[in-house]
Amino acid sequence: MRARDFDVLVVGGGPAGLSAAGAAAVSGARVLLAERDVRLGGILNQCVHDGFGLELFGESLTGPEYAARQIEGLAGSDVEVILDASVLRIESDGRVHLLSPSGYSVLEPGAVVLAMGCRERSFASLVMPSCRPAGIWSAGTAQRLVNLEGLMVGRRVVILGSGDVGLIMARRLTLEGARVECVLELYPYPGGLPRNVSQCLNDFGIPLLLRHTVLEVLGKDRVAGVVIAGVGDDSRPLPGTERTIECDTLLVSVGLIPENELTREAGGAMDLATGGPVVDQQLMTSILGVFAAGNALHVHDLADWASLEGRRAGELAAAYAREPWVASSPIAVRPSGDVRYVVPQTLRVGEPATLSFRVTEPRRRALVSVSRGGEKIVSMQFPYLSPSELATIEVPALAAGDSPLEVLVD
Amino acid sequence: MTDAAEKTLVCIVCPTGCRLYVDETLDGLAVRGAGCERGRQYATSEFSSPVRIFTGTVRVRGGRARVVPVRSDVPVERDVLMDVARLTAKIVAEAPVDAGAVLAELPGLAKLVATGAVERG
Repeated sequence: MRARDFDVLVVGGGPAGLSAAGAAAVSGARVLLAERDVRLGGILNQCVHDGFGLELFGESLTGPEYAARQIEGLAGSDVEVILDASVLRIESDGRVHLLSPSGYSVLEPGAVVLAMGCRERSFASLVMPSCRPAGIWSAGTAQRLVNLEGLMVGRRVVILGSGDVGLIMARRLTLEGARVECVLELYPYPGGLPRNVSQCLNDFGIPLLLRHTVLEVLGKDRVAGVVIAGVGDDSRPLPGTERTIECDTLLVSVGLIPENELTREAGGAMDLATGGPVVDQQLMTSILGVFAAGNALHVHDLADWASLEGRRAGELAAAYAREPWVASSPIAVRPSGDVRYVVPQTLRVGEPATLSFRVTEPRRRALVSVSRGGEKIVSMQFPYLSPSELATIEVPALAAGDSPLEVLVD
Repeated sequence: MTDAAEKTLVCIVCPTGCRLYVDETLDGLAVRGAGCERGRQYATSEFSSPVRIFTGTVRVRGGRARVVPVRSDVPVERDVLMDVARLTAKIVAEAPVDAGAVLAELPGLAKLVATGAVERG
C-alpha cells in the first residue's frame, strides 16, 4: 500500500468509525477504514437488544440492524475497508503503521480519525479476594459469549455495577433462563439509563441494591457465592451489613475505558477525567491532523451520539486533509465543582462550541454556568442532570486570552 | 377517592427519559411530565397494558455462527416476555439465515425476525 493514496484514515469500524468514514467520503475525501475484527459493526454486533437509531433513523433498531444501516450507507461510497487490520502505531508526525492480511504498511494519510471505542474495566482492577474461580466475567464478555457464541455463562447470577452493560445483561440472562439474584451498585443512584433500569430490572423484578458492593467471591473451581455489604457515603463497607448470596456467576460491570494506546504512544495529550484524548471543538487532538470521536474520545450513552460525533469528525478530517489548519493558542476548558468532565477540553479562538459534560452526582433544577476570569459567559437551567446522561451547553466564539473557561454547576 | 396513589415511571420512547407521573382520577388517567404526545401515550399504555419488543437469539444449525440475533416483529405484552423467551429457545434455524427472515411464528404472540445473517459453513 503506497502512502497518501487516501486522505482520511479511520481507525475502527464501529458506530463512530462507520459514520466518520461515510461523512469523510461525502465530503470528497478518499477514505480508508481499518477494522481489527473480521467484520464491521464493532460492539453493535453483540448488542442484540433494541433502542438504537432513535436519533439517527427515527426507529428503534437492534445493534446488528443499526450496524447494517450504517454499512449499507457506505456501500455507495468509495470508502476502502480493510478488515482483520490493526493499526499498530501512530507516529507523532502522523505516519501510521498498519498490519493487515496484505502485509505491513506505513501510511501517510492526510488526516486520521481515532474511533477505537472502549474496553471494559476488569475484575482484576477491583483487587477483590477470590481463588479465581471460573464464572467471573465482565458484562461485555458475557454478552459476547451469549449473543455471538451461543454459550450460557451461568444459571444463578449476581451483577456488580449498574451501568448499562450490566443492566442489559441482567435482562438478557433472565430471558435465557438464568436467575439473576440482584444488581449491586456502589453509589446511591444507578449508573445506567433510567429506561434500562425500568426495562431490564423492574420488568423482571430483579432487585437493584444501591450503596452495595461485593467484598469477596467464594468458590474454588467455580463461583459458589459472593459476600456483599452495604457501603457508606465514603463507599467503604459498613461493618455488620455483610451477607452471602449463593450464585455460580458474577458479572462485573464497573466502567468503560476509552481505548487509547495509539493516542498515548503518539504523544497525544490525555484527559484523566474522560480517559480519552484532549480535543478542541473541531475534535482534533493535540496531534495535528488526528481527530477522535465516539467512545474512544469519551464514553457515550447512546450509539447514535457516537455516530453523530463520528460524522462530525469525518467531515472535519476531510476538510483538514484538503487544507490543513494550524493550531491556535487554545483556551483551556475546566470542569468545576460537580462537573466531572467537559469535552472539548480546549477551544480554538474565534469559533463557537458545544460543550458536552457530565456531573458527578444527580442534580435537580441545576444551574450550569460557563465563566471566564470571573465573568459569566452563558448559563442554562437543567430540570434534571445525572452522571449517566451526557448534557450539552453552547458557548459563543471567544477571544484569545490566558483565562480558562470554567464550567460549573451551582 | 382522594388519596389515589400516583405512579411514577420513566418514559422510554426517546432518550430524554421524561419523568412521568400518572394519576388514576375519576375522569380517567392524568399524566404529568410528558415532553411530547408519544410520552403521554406511553404512560397511558404502560399503566394499563405494558408492551415490549422481544429481542434475543435463535440457535442455528449448519452455519458459520451458532446463533443469529432476532427480534419480535411487534411488541408483546410485558408479562409474556418469558413465555416468548422459552418458545424462542426451542427453535433451531437452518443456515443460511438472511437478515429480515421470519424464523418462526409464535401463535398469538409475534413472529421472530432475524436481525443479522448467518452464512452456511
